[in-house]
Amino acid sequence: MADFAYVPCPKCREQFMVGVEFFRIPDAYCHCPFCHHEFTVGVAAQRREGEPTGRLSADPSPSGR
Amino acid sequence: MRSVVAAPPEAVELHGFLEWYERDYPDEVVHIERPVDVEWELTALATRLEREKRFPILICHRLVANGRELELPVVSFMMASRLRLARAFGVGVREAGIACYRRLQHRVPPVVVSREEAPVKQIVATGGAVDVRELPALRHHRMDPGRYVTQGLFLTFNRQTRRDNSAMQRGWLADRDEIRVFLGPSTHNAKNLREYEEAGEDMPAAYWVGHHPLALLGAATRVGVEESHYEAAGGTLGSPLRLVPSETLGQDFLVPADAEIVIEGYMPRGQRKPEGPFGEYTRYVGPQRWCPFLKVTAITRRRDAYWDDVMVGHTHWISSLGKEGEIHRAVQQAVPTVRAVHVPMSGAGVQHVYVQIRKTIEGQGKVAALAALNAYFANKHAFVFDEDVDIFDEKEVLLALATRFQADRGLVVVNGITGSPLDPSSEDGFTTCKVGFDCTKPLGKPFAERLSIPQDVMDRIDPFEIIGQDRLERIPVEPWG
Repeated sequence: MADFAYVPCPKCREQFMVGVEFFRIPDAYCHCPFCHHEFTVGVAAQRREGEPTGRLSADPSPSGR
Repeated sequence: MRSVVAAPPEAVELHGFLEWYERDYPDEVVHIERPVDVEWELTALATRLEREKRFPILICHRLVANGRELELPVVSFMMASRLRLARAFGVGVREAGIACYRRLQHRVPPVVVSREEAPVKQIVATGGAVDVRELPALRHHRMDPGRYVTQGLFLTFNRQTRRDNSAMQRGWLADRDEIRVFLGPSTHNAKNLREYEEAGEDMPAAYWVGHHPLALLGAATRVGVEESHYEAAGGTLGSPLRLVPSETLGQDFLVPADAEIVIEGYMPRGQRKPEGPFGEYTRYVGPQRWCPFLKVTAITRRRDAYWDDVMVGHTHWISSLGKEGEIHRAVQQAVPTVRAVHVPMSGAGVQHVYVQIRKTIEGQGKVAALAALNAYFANKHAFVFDEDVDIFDEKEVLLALATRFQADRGLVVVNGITGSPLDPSSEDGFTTCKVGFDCTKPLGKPFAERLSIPQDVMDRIDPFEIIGQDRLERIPVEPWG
């Protein structure tokens, strides 16, 4: 499969898969399939309160729902 | 089993097909009258049926979205039955792939009819009356962002040649007049979009949804960029596809007159939005993409239209049947004694290929494997067997792999070759490692005989008689046995 990453939605915190183009294209923004919040991967990468790191997740197993 | 008969010639659209099929096979068309939510419920039912290995046509008459019943019914699981498609071709189950291939070799040009003759023009909505959210499209899997067009043929015309191109390409109903469409970069529709964008123009495009299953098989087949999908659909259907001018895209933008629903629009040049993630045919989730979208200008439909859905990521034979014929032809050129080809569902309907040959020269097993692997870019593992192995029985296939294959003699490995971009195990999304397994017995050497029991003994020993039918039915069925 093409390169992708799991990104956490900054609003609902669910993780979902996005292609690498979202990291390369300046105007590209993600759409959370769970809560429909839209954000750039830069926002997803920001440090989140109470967590050791807010970097994009390499964990291939998204949290359940 | 019933004898095989071809669909009657008048049944050249979905309504006619369903009437014929329900008349001849009433147990296999299930009408669901209870309310079914568009989110996941029909996928759950299909998943349960799939586990039972039962593939009836499902017609849901009461679809509910956001607590409100929608007007149109849904047909789903139509392409899930190989037996059904074989009956439509008028052949046996094993011959369905070859039948599909043969019909594709005899392309039939379409004909143009008037609006009055076109059922798809019975209801026309344009401008502010357009709302794709009223269509009973389904949300299939957990990570899908919403409801999708799945069994929709995305239609474009090349800007220069005006050649038609239809492909099953998913579309997310993102807004009232907006469908976000994933066009794989190597597809002809993506090529057509690039050419429009390079010319600084928006691209006219449409989805056509719902037609006779054999028309869908032909239209969805990948053909050369200069070839017509409408003619391919006419070939598999055995009858010219009837076309009619669009409502909002010009007289020369022709759409299928007998489709259930046509969604017209244009792709604004240079504009992209997020689409996905989406449950792919591989049975894994594919990531969200930065995609073009269809700005919808019209929805036309039959008065009694069905929304046609395919369960992507579940059993369906749309890809496999066409591939079996192509692979058979490719192997036959290298090994004339090829007997059969099966592209099973266990390989997601494309990645595994089983080939049966009558070996006459040592080494032909590997030749057949390489030919099969090369026949289509997404074919990943090819297994070649002798004539006595039933390649439609995967227990027999795996037994032959266990007992007739030696890796140091029978393995063919082709590394770093173009493969399916959707294969989750492909590291770069472009290349894969293709493998051939020559599971044929060596020629000119004795090989152990398969166990057997005299046929007359098999015929006279009946477990129902010896154990008793009631008792036998109470003994658990063990699927791993």
